[in-house]
Amino acid sequence: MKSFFVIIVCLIFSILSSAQESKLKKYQANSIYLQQSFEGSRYIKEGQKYKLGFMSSKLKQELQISPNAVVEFKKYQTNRWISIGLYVASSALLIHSISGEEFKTTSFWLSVGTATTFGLFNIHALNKREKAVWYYNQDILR
Amino acid sequence: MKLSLFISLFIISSFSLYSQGAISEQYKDNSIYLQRSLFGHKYVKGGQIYKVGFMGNKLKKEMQVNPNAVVAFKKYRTNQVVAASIAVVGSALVIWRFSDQEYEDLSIFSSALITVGWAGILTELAYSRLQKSIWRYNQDLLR
Repeated sequence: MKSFFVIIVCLIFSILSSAQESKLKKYQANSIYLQQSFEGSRYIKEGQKYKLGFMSSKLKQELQISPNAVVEFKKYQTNRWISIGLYVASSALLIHSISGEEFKTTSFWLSVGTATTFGLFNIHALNKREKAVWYYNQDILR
Repeated sequence: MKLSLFISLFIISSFSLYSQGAISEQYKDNSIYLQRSLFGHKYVKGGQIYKVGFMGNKLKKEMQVNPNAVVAFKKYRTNQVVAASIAVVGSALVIWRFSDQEYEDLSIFSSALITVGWAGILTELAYSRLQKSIWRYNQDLLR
């Protein structure tokens, strides 16, 4: 009876350690992190660099397996589109302010304001993408 | 004997299920991810937001437990120091030129632009090092 219990305890310990080992392997093979380089933004998976694509479309395909990541990614996309719109508006206002004979102060300050709002939306968008990747890395362990 | 075998199997499978859940929970509670803000970077751990601190000082304490994370973290600090130095030297140069009436406005503007550009690129590269360091930290939570 004593040896029977010893076997059971050994089995439990081996199950615990193998569960940890398999999670680690799963994580090493599937987890993602984002990187910036001179070539632009990339994501790394299993030591390989991949392009994010326009509006991180390639990253989006990876995140599909995690419903939480998909929700956060949609928020990223919404904020990113708004920030792109603001960027275009800001550039147009800046060009308008310096074009022509006279410098247009109102347009210039409107451009500065729009650029600041763009910055805020852009930061918010990037944070959502970061959170989406975190959710994904978490969900691959389930 | 049959009953004890059944009980053993039940206990083993319960432990197996529990361990799977426990590892995921441990990861959820202790893993870190970064967030940007207008006033420096922040990190989130267990749903709480913390400041990264000057040159990542506050985050450094978290990274200490993991030698792999520390290596990438040191590279982040080096990049950050270089970026900050360029920003400081560049700003000083711009202020100095600004005070000199003989310089044309265009040269001041272009040197400011170059300084900000380089400091920005190096800060982004440093941020990448920080992300790698955090990825390693998160990975080692599973060891």
